[in-house]
Amino acid sequence: MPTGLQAMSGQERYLPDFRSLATTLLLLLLGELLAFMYTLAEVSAPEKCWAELGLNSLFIMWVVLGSQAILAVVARRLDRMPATPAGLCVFTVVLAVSLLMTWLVDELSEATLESYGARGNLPFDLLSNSVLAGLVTAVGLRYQYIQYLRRLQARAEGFARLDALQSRMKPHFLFNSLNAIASLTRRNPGLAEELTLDLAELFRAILRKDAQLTTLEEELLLSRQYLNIERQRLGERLRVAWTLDDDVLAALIPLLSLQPLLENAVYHGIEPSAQGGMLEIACQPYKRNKVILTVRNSLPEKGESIDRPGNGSALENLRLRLQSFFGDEGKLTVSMAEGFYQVRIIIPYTTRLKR
Amino acid sequence: MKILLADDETLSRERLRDLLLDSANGVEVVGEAANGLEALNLAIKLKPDVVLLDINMPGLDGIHCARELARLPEGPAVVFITAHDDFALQAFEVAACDYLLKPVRRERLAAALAKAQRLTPSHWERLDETLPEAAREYICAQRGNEVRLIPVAEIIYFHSDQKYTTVKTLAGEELIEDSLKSLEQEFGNRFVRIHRNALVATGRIERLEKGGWGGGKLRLRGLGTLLDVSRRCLPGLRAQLKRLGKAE
Repeated sequence: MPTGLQAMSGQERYLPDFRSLATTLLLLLLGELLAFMYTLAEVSAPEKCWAELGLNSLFIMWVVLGSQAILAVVARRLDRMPATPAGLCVFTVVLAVSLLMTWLVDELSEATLESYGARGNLPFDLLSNSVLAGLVTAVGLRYQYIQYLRRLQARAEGFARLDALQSRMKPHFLFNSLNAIASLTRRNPGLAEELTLDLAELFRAILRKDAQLTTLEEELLLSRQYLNIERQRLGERLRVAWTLDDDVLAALIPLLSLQPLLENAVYHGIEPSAQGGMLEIACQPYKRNKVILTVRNSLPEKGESIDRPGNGSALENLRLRLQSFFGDEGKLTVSMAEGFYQVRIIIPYTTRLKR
Repeated sequence: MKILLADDETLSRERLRDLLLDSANGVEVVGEAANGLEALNLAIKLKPDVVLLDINMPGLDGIHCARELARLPEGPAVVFITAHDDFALQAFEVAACDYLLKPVRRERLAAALAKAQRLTPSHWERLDETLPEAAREYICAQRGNEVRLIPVAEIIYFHSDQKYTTVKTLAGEELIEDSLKSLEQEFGNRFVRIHRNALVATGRIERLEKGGWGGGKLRLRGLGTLLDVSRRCLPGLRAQLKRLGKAE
């Protein structure tokens, strides 16, 4: 899963992945286009067109593939470099390869194809080919750079919004929890202590700045601590059912992706109902190498639902985070059926350790 | 002083009870309610002096419950309790009506109770004016000593006689004390006036038919009989139907 792991390395890449086949195909296509343009601009007679195109293509393919081969070898090192030196490296490699190829072609044509004639001006060929190669590479790099900046910006915006929202756990929940603890301090000090510890763990997670990924197991622990607090407050009104598959517990997941869903479910589904409601949580394998997380809650009876704001932003934020970690492989869907409100998260199953 | 506790969380009520026991100067907890409707019914039955009323409760919430309490003859004083100032708490300050933040402090509770004793009906009127203008989700109908909640979404029409207003739902009829005029003001976007004495849920309208004397007859979903539309209300109703895209 290259995209998933790539996103997890926590870095946007400036350069394309020179080791991938997709990049090879793209570069060949662009090279062929360049060969077309060059041939059309230069050719003098129609009957020479195909021969010229063939030779030009051949030359450019060699330069493209040669450069890519070298860049693929040093790709790891390039990825670790800052943007500007990395760009300069690519530029230099392409230039060197095209000079080398020009010189080789010149040598070969002198040795074997003397009859082909007027190809002899080596200094001029070296100059014109390197200028062409340099210009094309510069344009390509510039394009990559702009794309890179845009990706960085989108990512930064995503995380800025994330920060703002993460710090905004519903105050309603905080004060109600403190109130429950205050009440239990007299009647059941043991339970009060337990709740204080749960609340502390939860806030530690919310205030954590570094780690963005955690295992599903840890996230589930956090969710249980959260629900433990809510159960003390809501009593029998909160009914919870878990469906957990042990196989997926090691999966990596953005920190605090389940807990806000549970908080939403309690806030909109359970609390507004005098009879309370049902909350179902499921974590299961899904299709090939994916994990599906489902949070379902019953809805309060018609008319019972107080208009409570703030649902959309938490979901939007979560969707953004999934996207920034897993690309298109991270999905979040919301549906409503049979009196239940359901949120599903699908993520790729990855277990690589955190940085 | 007789006190009624209204909060949907058991722990929250226990805490208030503990605090009141501590203060122990003639304070007696006469009842506990877990939602607004229960609070309303217990208030009618037990006639407490003060209701400690949580704002966030399922069903009838604290604010709407307080409005109904204020209508009771010799209704109790109310002290609001909330976990977080997400409601217009300033409104309470303006109305000199007290509120407490959870977790409640003992001294604050004692001060609020002392203040509640001095609350006069005029405070209530000011509170009613300053509270956020949210239309109710329920209409309260009192029958003897029992209060029933009628979800506004289930109401087909309001009809008024000289003295009382009748609420018609599929389940039956209830008498309420609100006037048609105030109901029209409150629910203007969901109900339309079709006669001097009738206000109809726009969502229930099926079609408008011709009637005698320049008026019309209105057919409503789930209702066998047709309702009279007066000549005066006809243009307004037509405009409303046009906006809703319903055929005449």
